[in-house]
Amino acid sequence: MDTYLSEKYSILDGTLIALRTDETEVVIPAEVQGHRITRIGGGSCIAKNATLIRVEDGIREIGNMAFCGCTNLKKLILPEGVELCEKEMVISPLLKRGMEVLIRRKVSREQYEELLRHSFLVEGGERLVQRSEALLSVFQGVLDGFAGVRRQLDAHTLNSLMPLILDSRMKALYFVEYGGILGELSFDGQRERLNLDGPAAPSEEKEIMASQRRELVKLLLKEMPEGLYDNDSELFWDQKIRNHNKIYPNKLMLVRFQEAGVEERDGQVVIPFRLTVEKAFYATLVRIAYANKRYYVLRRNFLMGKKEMPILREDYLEEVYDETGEPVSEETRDVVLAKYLLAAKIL
Amino acid sequence: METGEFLKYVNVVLAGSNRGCMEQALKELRTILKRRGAEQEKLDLLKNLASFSLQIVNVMEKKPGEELTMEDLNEVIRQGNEWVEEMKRMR
Repeated sequence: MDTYLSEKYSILDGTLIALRTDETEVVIPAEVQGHRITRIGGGSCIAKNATLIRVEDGIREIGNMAFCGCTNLKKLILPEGVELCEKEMVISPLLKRGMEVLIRRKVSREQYEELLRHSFLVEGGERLVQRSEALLSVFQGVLDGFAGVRRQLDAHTLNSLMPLILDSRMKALYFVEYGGILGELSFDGQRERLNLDGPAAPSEEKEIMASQRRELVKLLLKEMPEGLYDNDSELFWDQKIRNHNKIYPNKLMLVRFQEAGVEERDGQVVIPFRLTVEKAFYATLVRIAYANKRYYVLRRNFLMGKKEMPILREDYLEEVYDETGEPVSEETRDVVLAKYLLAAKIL
Repeated sequence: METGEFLKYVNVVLAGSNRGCMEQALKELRTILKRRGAEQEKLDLLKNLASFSLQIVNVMEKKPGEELTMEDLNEVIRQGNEWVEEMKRMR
């Protein structure tokens, strides 16, 4: 039995049961005065001024809500191989508060290649990772944390968000939040079903979502000011849907890493992941003139930090609607999207 | 486990803590003390305390800067049970 109690650290049998400090940058060591720390106990850290906490190598586990007393925390740096897979949330509450979590994870060469395949370059030279089996295997514990919140939501709230949740073409790992985290999404055709009321037939579900989205577009069309329309322009007006957060999700969990920071060690690959939940996912309704008719493209943007980033990829574009808010034929859609991409200098 | 030692640990995890952390910290302490072979009575006390963080804060506020005694912990439990009864009545 090992006991160490001091003003700053209190350790019982390898578990840090209390950390009390006013420091702004905190390092939690794996050893204090000869007393090993292998676990950071649940609810143990009270460091109200801390903006950065670095957990040293050697600490293997983190208890539930270990950092919930670190109310100003912006960045948490975790060691490679630390166990996050608790029954309840560990770092998910921190992510939800807008904190950044840096964590190095060891993966096999195959997993790394899969992560590369399911990711794409974004600003700053980072790769934004899409949902994939490899990513799920690395971050299952974090995902479980989000899933825990999802179960608390009522079906009505969820249904009101369904139009935005389903049928998107965005290819990244997201979690949508409205009040709490709603559900895990993937937009690569492998999405997880959100079945609070039991499973619905896929075709039936898709039909319901399509009709709800049409209603939304109609609503937006009514709000679009007529005066801004100009027949001579290619790209007319972006109707930002920022005021529709009640029906539009506004937070995403993003998983990124810098290829330059990846190391190979003992036949395995160590990846420095950066996890954030960002206010994001604005939708934009873009008006396009084509063959003397008006069409509307529903486009998605997301925020990288404070900077709004339009998604400059054709496959991120949403459906095209006519003036009545009804989706157009596939043929017309392709032409209008091509026109939009040209106008927006995306092609 | 001696009461003095038990109280020392309880006060360590509660000092400066907030309601959200208290519950988890007390659960963590219970796990460790169970492994150390603490008496069932003390483990039960920790379990009950973890459910009554609001009452812990109330009792702590009445004696700022002072450590909690067994009487204080019993007062927390008494207030907590009273609150539970009140909730039952309201239903």
